[in-house]
Amino acid sequence: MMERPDLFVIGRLLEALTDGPLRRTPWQQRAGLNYTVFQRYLDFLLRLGLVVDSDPEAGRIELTAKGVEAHRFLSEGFSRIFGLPEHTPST
Amino acid sequence: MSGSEDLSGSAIARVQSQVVILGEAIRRLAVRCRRFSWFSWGFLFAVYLGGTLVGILSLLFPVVVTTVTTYGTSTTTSTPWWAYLVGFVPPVVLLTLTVRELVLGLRESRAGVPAPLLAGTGSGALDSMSWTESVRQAQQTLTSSRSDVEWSFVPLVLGTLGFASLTLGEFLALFTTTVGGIWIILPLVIGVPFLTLFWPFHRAALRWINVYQDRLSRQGKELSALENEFFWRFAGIPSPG
Repeated sequence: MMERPDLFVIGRLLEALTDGPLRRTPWQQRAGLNYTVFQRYLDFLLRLGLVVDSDPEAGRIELTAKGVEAHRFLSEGFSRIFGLPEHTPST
Repeated sequence: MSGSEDLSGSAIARVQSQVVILGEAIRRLAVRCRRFSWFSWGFLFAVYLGGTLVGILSLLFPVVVTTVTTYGTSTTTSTPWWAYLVGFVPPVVLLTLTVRELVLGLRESRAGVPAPLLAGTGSGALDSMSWTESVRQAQQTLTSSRSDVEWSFVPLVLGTLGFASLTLGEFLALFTTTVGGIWIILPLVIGVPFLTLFWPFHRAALRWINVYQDRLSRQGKELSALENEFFWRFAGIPSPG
């Protein structure tokens, strides 16, 4: 069991998957985590059912419906707390 | 390209950048407050060190004045003029440093945080840091900074009165032999207006801390609520850890 999962890290991991499934290494790089931390969060997110190993052979991970909802929840929550405008896709 | 750069347009990455900016501003604030506190206490110490130096120098290098009168000669000793200059150096240096910290801190608080400080948002930063925890730690840092600034006024008051006393006392000793009550009254006349000038600076520094404290207090509570709600809603448990 990890000590205290950080909401920002969870949010960024979920956010990295919003454009579609990713293999573990690109996902880890996009979220900017080292391997050990990434592995702990991966286990945690899988256990919560926020992500799923959609293609075990290719090692692709994707968001579940619950994960999409969790990402929206965190995105809106952070924006509200820190006074930022809602997410707008980058051009 | 780092992960954070890839996600630079996303909401959570932008929030993280905001947290980094806030954290950096608070770190700088804490450093300024701590230095301000050290220099204030240093100023008080330097005032008395300066006075002691003048005393020691007048004992080591006394200026002997022999006066011839109709009744004979009398010899008196006094302090060499340069001893006063030496005595002034420590308090003047420390006072300059104290005021400098306060002025720089106020200027930085108006200017915001320079962009290069955002360099810490690279991919490595996430590995070792809990962002939610960093907001809580920033709150503790602010409480400590507030205490530093509040307590700094005590040495400033005592130091300023002592400094005014040293200045006027030495000034009078150079040009007149009049002493007594004037040593107490005149320092107060000079010291009190000086402190009145200092007071707005001090209040401004505390206001600056208040702004951050209010903001962080609100954000810290909301972040805790968000955390609890997240884990309750998506994990069915209260916040772990």
